[in-house]
Amino acid sequence: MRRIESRIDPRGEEFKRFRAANLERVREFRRRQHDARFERRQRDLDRLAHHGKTFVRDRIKQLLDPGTPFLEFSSLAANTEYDGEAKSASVVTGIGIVAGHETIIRADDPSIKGGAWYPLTVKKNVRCLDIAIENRLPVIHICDSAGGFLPLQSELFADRISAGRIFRNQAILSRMDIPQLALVFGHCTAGGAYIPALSDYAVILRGNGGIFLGGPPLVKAATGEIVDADTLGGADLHTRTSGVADYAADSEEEAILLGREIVSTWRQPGKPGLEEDPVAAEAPYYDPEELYGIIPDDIKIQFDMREVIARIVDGSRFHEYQPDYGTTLVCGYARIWGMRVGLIGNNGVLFNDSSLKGAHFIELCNQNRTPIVFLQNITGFMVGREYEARGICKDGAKFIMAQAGSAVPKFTVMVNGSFGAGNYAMCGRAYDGRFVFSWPNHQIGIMGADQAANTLADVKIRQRERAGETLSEDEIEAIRRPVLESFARESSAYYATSHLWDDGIIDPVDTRNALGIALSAAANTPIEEPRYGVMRF
Amino acid sequence: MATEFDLEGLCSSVLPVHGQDALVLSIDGRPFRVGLTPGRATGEVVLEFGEERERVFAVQRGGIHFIHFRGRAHRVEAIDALARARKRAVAESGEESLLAPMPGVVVRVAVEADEEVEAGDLLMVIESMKLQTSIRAPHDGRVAEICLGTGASFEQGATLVRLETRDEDSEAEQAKERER
Repeated sequence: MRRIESRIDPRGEEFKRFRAANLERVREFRRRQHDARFERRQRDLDRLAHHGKTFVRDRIKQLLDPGTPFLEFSSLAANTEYDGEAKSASVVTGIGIVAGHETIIRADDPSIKGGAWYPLTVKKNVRCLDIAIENRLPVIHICDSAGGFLPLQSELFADRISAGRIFRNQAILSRMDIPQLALVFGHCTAGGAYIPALSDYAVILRGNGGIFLGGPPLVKAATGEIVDADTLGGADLHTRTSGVADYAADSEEEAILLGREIVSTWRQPGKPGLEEDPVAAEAPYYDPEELYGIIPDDIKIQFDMREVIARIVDGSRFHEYQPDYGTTLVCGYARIWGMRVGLIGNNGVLFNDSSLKGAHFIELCNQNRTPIVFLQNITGFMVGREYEARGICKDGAKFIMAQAGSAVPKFTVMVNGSFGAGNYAMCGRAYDGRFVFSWPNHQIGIMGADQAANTLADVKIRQRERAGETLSEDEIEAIRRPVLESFARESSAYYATSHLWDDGIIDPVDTRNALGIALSAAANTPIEEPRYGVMRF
Repeated sequence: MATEFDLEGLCSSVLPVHGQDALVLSIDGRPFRVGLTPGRATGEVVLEFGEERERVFAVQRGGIHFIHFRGRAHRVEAIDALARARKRAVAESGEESLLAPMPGVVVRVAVEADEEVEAGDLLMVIESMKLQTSIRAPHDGRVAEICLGTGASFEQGATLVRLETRDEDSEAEQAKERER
């Protein structure tokens, strides 16, 4: 495979301008991420210290094998909701290595409202357990939550992807022979009690740990019985009498060490998705730092996705498929950390030929059991009379049909824009890719802000014309402005990640590592036979 | 197919052939008995070549090997036969038209006719579906013709710029060929 010949001039004015803009974007992302991860009110930190509790991120650090990476999901979940109170949606989730095992870690954060679950906390919990199911990853829960956030209970309780789905996913995992461990470091009340109860192994802390369907206040209200938390559902009751938990520990440190020992007894089932003879990984020939100088400072400016591929894949080597056909879609094969991948990236609007090329290439990747990485920078499918007449809708439908029917693991990186139906074809969130990561400059929406504002203004103008009226410039501006403002806010990467439309914003230079961990996790699951629906020819 | 290596400008064709209890390489048609065993230090290799044994040090960067041998460093690179075959094809074609990848409008023309350009130089900026695309020179050459001016609209496949490959390039290429 040949190295991509980069056309970028790292000394050029444009490169420097883009680099400055992207470094600023990354600084802003890091600032927000640091705030979500570490900034807490002093009184919340004092309360943790008073109870002898360690901060959630220190618990995770102790649990992980030293010197191994932790791929955190959705560190900025809920950042635009609930007045920014539920930082990281009050739960830390990610893939880490514990006693040599790739595991999902799901840890409640008791430094925010006692670890109460907001609606987006529930969504984030369900998502991390979906990741565990799809990629056959064992789960370690660090339980320390006050339960559902009652003022918003209607948004987190009854629907299909609500709290019940967490326990349903736990049951599915166990049925798939994928083990789970719960470390109970605080209270698990009501529904929360089912997390340790549905885990195959549960360690509970003496003192702080407690598991009960109803806490002391609820018991008093329901039956008049007056009972303290420890007698009702403490470590000794559950490990000696009830059998709800398996081991008692006297300190968080002891519980974590015991947990690591439990994990070390689990089998390592192997990776059916990887080749038997691994190929040695090779760093990209081109420095991934140059990505900052490649992504433009204006979403309207096009760039060559090959330049991005060259800074993600092994040795910057890429075998391009159909280099001269449907050129607005770049397709080809490469390796990431030694693992085979097919890459599909946008180099402009999708035409008939680029859509057919995409569908064809997805079938090739399936035939060859090659995982696919989608690199999205898409404004949509081409519009206009000529393209409708050529059947752009049915060619786009083939691309979507092939992508949705694909059986190989899919990964999506939101490299820049993601607008309109192009989002669907390019494996947007709805298409069950294994992971979706976004860059800080990412923008997403049903259409661009300008187009939406013009479309709505146009509709209003025609309504008024039918009534024999005309709109003044000021009136048209009054229609456009609020649309522009709401689109600008809701199309930002921060709004998207806040609502769990992705698995987190990442620094562009970390893309190769994030994909490496994701590909390795995905290889735990055998690849099924692909089966497609009817293609409209 | 034999693998070809470039050793500081010298090209060698290497083919593994069967030998009894040792690896035999046919290098430019002559057989040599060779062996490689890792040495004690990082990058150290003991190379057996015919009756000789030598300690060499080797490091790899991309597809290039740097080999320290008898007090001198040598650069050895496997020749990418496919890339070379492609380069010949371009050198023979002489002229190339850059076509519009999609319908749109010319936003800016960055070069003039007859101007010498290098691979990657910006020739023109076009806009389509709210996206600005830079048209760049695919290889070194001379601008033969700018087919559309600023503000002109065009259909997909329209010729935007015509490029001529520099003559000396193909001459140098042919000279190299003759050497081989």
